[in-house]
Amino acid sequence: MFTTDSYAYTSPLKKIDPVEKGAMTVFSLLVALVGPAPLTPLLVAIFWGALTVFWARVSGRAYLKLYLLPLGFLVLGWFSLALSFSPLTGSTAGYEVGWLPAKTVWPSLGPLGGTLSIGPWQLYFTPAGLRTAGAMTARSLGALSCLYFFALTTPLTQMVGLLQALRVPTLISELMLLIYRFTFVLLDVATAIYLAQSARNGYARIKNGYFSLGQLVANLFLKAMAKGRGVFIALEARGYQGELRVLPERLEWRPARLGVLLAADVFLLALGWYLTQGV
Amino acid sequence: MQEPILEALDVFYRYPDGTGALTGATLTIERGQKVAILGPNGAGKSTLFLHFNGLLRPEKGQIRFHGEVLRYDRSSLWQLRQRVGIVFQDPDIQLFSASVRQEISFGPLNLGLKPPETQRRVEAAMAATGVSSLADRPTHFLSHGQKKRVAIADVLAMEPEVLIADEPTAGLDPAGARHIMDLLTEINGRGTTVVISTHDVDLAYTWADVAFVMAGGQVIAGGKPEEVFEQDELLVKAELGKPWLLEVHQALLRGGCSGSRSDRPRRRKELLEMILAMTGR
Ligand SMILES: Nc1ncnc2c1ncn2[C@@H]1O[C@H](COP(=O)(O)OP(=O)(O)O)[C@@H](O)[C@H]1O
Ligand SMILES: [Mg+2]
Repeated sequence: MFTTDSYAYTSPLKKIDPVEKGAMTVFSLLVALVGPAPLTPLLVAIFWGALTVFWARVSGRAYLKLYLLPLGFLVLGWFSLALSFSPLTGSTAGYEVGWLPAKTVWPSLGPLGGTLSIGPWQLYFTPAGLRTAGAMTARSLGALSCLYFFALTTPLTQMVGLLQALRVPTLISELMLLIYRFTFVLLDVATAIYLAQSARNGYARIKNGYFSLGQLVANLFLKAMAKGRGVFIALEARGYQGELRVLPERLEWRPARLGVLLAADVFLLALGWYLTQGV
Repeated sequence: MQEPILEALDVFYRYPDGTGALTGATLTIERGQKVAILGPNGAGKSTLFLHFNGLLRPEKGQIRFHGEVLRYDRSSLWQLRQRVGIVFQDPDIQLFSASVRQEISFGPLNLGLKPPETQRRVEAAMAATGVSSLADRPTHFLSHGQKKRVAIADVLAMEPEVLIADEPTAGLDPAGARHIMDLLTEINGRGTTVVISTHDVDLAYTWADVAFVMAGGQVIAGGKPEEVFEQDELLVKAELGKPWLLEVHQALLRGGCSGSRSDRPRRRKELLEMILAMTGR
């Protein structure tokens, strides 16, 4: 989260109105979700990925690494959709997968086309399942690429501004801002305590590591409370009246740019349809 | 010409946990001065500062601003806080906003200023503190020295009559500390009364027009720095050292050099000239 945040702050696209970026993101997201899968979502992923790397200047390696984050979910989701699970019935010509007896159902699927039976159950891939899983993976990648584009180019303060523009209650948007601010305060305090403990071998062995961690958490809480009080006093010193008002940033709003990008999304949608029909 | 702007009269304050932080503190700050408040940790400097813009309320005693006793209703406090500004010691506590420009705009907007005037003040405060180039940077990516500058700009943008800075040089390297002190001198030059707390005696001795010494929740001495720092028992009581300029000067006089005791050097340059004169060059 901290790396995405620093990208957002140093992004060349930081000055673009978050409403414009939000509109691009939401529209592309819709295209990736409703367009013919897997083609359109994959095209969306490639297009927005390229924009993120070449236009927003996020390093390609760091960008790909970000996809490792949801990879676990993707893999789990893929298996749960691709694999079917049913009681063992009838007889089929089987072969062994490892030490478990298995049956070939769809030889055309090659090594994947086996059935794994566990007790009275069998586990197998079906073409329909594989197709759904592939579509799901493509849609996830497409959607992620849009969200990453937004997250990597929009600082949190602007997101809060966007929420305010969307009439989200100030209580929520200001809480977000303060939580965001305090995350860094907490992180600083935690790092300082951790270093101080490590310097005295607090994490040298697993056993004292647990003890040190306990101390860290307890101290973190106390220090965070004290800091929180301090922050409130400091806000009051500057005439805080219950509302965190700051000057809005100077932002660019260019309908033409938005139009071009939305048109590109529509093109990807059409291309996806055309090619899918053609197959 | 002398005109009290802030006064503490026999102020007592006890924190909720029972610590008696102020036990009868009395002092007067004159308008337009550069004031340094010295004292060891726990002397009560920060607590006294919080009283000066009404963040804490004395249990006993009074705080006066322009001769009038502070009132603690909402609107009086709001008015006071636009005229007396505090720069906190820990900028991480003070800075809350993500971008420097937005951070500095918080105070002026709270004063009810319109965005164009706020904008003007923010730009002026950034220029004065030398942080204009950081305007769009998030505050949590700044160095400690830069954060300190932004914290001063925060208060400067409110254009207060009195600017109070709690240990403005703590945690800075010598060059950083000098820059901050020069900045405070400049702010004072434009007519703002500047009050700082510190335990750096050399810095206070050269910089301040008036020095106060606090210990154990009381103000135990006050006056011209060269007079305050002459009192050896006082310095011992407040666990403060002697400014090296005075120490060298006294040693020279004790060593038989000619010169008058009242003619004390305030700056390195003055001492060097004195030495040259004493040695007959
Ligand atoms: N928030 C607090 N709660 C309880 N005691 C405090 C608090 N802040 C300061 N104190 C105590 O009050 C005394 C004066 O502190 P302070 O005004 O911070 O001194 P200084 O700024 O001169 O170092 C100290 O004994 C300190 O421990
Ligand atoms: Mg203090």
